[in-house]
Amino acid sequence: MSLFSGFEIGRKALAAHQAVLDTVGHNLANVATRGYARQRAELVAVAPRNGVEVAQIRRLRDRFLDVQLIQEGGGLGRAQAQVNLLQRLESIFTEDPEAGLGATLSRFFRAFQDLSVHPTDPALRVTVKEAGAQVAATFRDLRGGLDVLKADLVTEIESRVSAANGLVTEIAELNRRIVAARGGGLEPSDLLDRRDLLVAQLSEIAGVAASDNENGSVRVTIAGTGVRLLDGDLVSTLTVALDGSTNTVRLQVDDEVVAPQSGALAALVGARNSPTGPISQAASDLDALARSIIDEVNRLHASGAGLTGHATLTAANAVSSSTVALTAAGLPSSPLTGAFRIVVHDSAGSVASTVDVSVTAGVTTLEDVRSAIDADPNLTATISAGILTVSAASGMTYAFASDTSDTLLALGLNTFFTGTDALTIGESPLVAGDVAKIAAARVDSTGLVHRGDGENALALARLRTKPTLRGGTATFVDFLGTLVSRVGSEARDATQALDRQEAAVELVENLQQQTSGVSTDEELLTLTQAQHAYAAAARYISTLNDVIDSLFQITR
Amino acid sequence: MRVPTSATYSRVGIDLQAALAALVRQQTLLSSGRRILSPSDDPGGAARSLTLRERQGAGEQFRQNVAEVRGLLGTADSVLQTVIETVTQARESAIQGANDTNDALARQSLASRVDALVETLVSLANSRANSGEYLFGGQESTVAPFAVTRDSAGRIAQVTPNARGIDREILAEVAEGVTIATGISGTTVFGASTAPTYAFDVLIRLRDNLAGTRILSLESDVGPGGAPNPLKYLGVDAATDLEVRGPGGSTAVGLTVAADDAVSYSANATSAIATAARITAATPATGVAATVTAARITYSAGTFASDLTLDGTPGARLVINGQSLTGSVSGGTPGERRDRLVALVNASAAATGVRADAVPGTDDFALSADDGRNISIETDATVSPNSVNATVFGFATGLTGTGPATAVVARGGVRLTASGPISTTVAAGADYADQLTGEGTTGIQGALGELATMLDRAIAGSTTVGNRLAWVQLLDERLTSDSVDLASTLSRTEDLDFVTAILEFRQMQLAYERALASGAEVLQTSLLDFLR
Repeated sequence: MSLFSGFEIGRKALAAHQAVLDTVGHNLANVATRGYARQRAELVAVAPRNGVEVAQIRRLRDRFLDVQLIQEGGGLGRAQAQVNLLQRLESIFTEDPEAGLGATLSRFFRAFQDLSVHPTDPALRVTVKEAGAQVAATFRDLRGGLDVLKADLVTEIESRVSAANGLVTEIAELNRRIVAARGGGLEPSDLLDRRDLLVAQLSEIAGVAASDNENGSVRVTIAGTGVRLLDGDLVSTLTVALDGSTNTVRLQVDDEVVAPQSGALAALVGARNSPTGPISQAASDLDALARSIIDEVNRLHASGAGLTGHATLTAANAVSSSTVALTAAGLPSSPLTGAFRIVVHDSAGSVASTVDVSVTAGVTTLEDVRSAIDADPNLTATISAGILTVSAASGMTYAFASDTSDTLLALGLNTFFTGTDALTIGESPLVAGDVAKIAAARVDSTGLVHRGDGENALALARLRTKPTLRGGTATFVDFLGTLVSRVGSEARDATQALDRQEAAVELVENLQQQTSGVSTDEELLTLTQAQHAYAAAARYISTLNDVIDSLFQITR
Repeated sequence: MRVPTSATYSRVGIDLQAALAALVRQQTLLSSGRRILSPSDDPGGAARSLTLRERQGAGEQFRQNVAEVRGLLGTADSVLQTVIETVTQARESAIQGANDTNDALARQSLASRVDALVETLVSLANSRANSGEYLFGGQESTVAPFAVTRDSAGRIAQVTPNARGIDREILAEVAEGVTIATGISGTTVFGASTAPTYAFDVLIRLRDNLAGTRILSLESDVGPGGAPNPLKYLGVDAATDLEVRGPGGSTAVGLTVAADDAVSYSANATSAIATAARITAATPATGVAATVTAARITYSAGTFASDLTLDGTPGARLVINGQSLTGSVSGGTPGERRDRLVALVNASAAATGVRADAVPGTDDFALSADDGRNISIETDATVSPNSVNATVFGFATGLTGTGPATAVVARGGVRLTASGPISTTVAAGADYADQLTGEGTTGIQGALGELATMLDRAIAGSTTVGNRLAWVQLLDERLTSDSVDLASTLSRTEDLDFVTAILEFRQMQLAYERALASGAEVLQTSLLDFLR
């Protein structure tokens, strides 16, 4: 062992502690960097008694927690997207006490109440008309909001897909660099940190699983499906396509259709496609409610009489053929077996003639109805393009009465609303054009219509309490209440699920941080220690120098 | 456990964020005053609040309807009070007029008073509610329910109810499933226009009676037991038997002209139709118009003791106005036998012009000829077990002998009207002296009974309205208390409990402050502070 070899020990010590200082510096510099795993310079003694050297710069990170983090990340992404979605859905159904659907419906039926007491008051008639238009507009608004939400989903899916593709490309690039670095014998800790972070982010979008290859690269698949997104620097492209025939969106990896089971895309695609998902369910419930209101109001209205009779009236709905049975003629609702009556009045309001039209389900055609009406000397009935028009002789008017066949409802004659669901509901031109045509009265047993008769308006007002929905167990407002309550529960459940998921992610992240997080105090300790070690090594070299100096003086 | 620096920072950050989020949310609740901001805050509560609000709206509507009904019924009630007053005044006038010590002039002034009452009654009957509907028109609320026809002097001659019907009630819903009529029907208050007690007819008759219009009445009714009417009109033949004096002058009228009556059966009988025709022929000279009223006779059927079969043979014959009736009236109770006879008579009504009606509540029946023609009956005087004469009609007079005999049992009445006082003089010895000399008060006295009926009707109407008002009043109270209950339930569902919320807010504020303080402490300390 030569005296000079002591210098070698000193040099190695300086270099080693320099490396420790560098690592501390790097750690301290990245104290706030997301995904950064602290590094530690591991010193080993060089045998035999040959000083110290840095064995490796170790990256302190728990691989098992990484896997878990990626998995929980998928759940988190899904829960977040779900909450976001349901909160938007909920905001559509947050009932304004003044302008919400419930309040609007209540006003509508109250307007009929008012009218039933003073059927001749034109102001009350206008109120009914306005309230009806408001009901229709509120339905269309809500339903439109749902459609916008669905359309927004597609945009969001597209943007998430493009973000996922960006991440995939970036991860592949990191893979390439990591493999290269490993080949050069370097430990690319920072690249690994970065890659882990990106995989976790990708998982939040698409719910992925990652596995390490021998050469240090990762292979990423859509979790639960095994469909490969990337392997090493081999990348696949995630695409989204709208299937017009089923009105659904389709996710594909290259040519393979995939359905992610976690990640934001799972929630978004599910909500967009599922016919039982919250949005679709809310839309179909809203449609059912609107349809029930349209049918119930129209059924009563069609058999009622307005302040003035009809000189001529055209049906709202066309049949596909006037010579096939009405029940098979493509009408929005099917007539039953029954009859309705048309009473023709002269200009003084006395009965001029009466015609009873009987309808047999599955047999009677529109042509049969037309000829039955036309047989009345004072009525003319014509069919044009499948649409029935009934006109009274000059100077006369007519009114409908007691339709037990729902034919008037099906044809849209003398109805209050038009349309068949929440999107198409509207006020009939008959009512919108002339409030005197709002049928507050009913033709009496002698065929007369009394101006002060509000029987029909009262019956319409009483629809409020009629259980017509859910198999005759729920009133309109009951049904709406259930709908709102369900949307609220779903949003609340999703929020709670998100809270749970966040807690789970936080737990794993905390565990990971316990291993890989930088502690400034700890680093300062290491720093101080390294500083002292460095100073000591320097002192050792200087002492060695003095020793050698002394030796030289002897020999001089 | 290692605690990395970033964990400290992020922990403090998360804690602060959570405390602040809770604080801000509580603040939003406080400033909105509601405990449910979106359905997810309380899904059940959101649904409940919807139904409660709906019920609240309905309750408000019911209260509004109740107020409306109270207004309408209140108006009807005050009108009915005035109707009662009007009828009472009419009755006072009738009582005064019925007093024979009044001279014609006094009765004239009473007549003009009653005329004013007729006008009043019509205007009351055509009263409108504040909202413009006619109170007594039912669903025909935009047309005056009672139309008026006036004579040449401008007085109301006839009041006709709207032919489209005035009795269809308007209903208002005043509680869940409970409807109430908003008014009272015109017929209930003023009577059916076909009834003898139709209010306007009664008053108009009273007025005319007081004004001097007389009824030359053939009170042809035969009383119970078959007693003949002492006023039975048998006719006179001299041209000077009857002198009619009216505002236009006087003239003598002979009444035995059978040619004036084409419908009455008995050729030799004088009749109301003929009498009216004669007097009408003299109208230019007298100013007196004549109309015919129905002939009517009531039979007591207490004599329906035994069975009876009519077959047209002697002893079992009943011939009305020349038509022989055949059929069995046998069996059952006297009432049932009576009903069979009534049906038998009515079966020939087209040929005889005579209608039979059962008198409700008795076994009696009445024969009437609405066009005023004579009712003539031919039957046997023979008394036998099967004798029509004895068992049914029991003629004590007018028929003699044992063979078939015919008698005119009733004649129509004649009503004389003129714009001024009229009187008549009947030649001495004429059989109808009593009625024709009667400047009497029969018509006015008859009106007293009718007015009593009218009054009863108006009072009954007013009672109905009053009861309904009381009910509505009760309903109103119930609805008000319901609405208070509902409002408090709704408030419990929707509104924030401020006291608790503010306490919670204070706690959250403290929690936030503590999180800030402890966070600041933790973040301040570092080994750096102690290294030199």
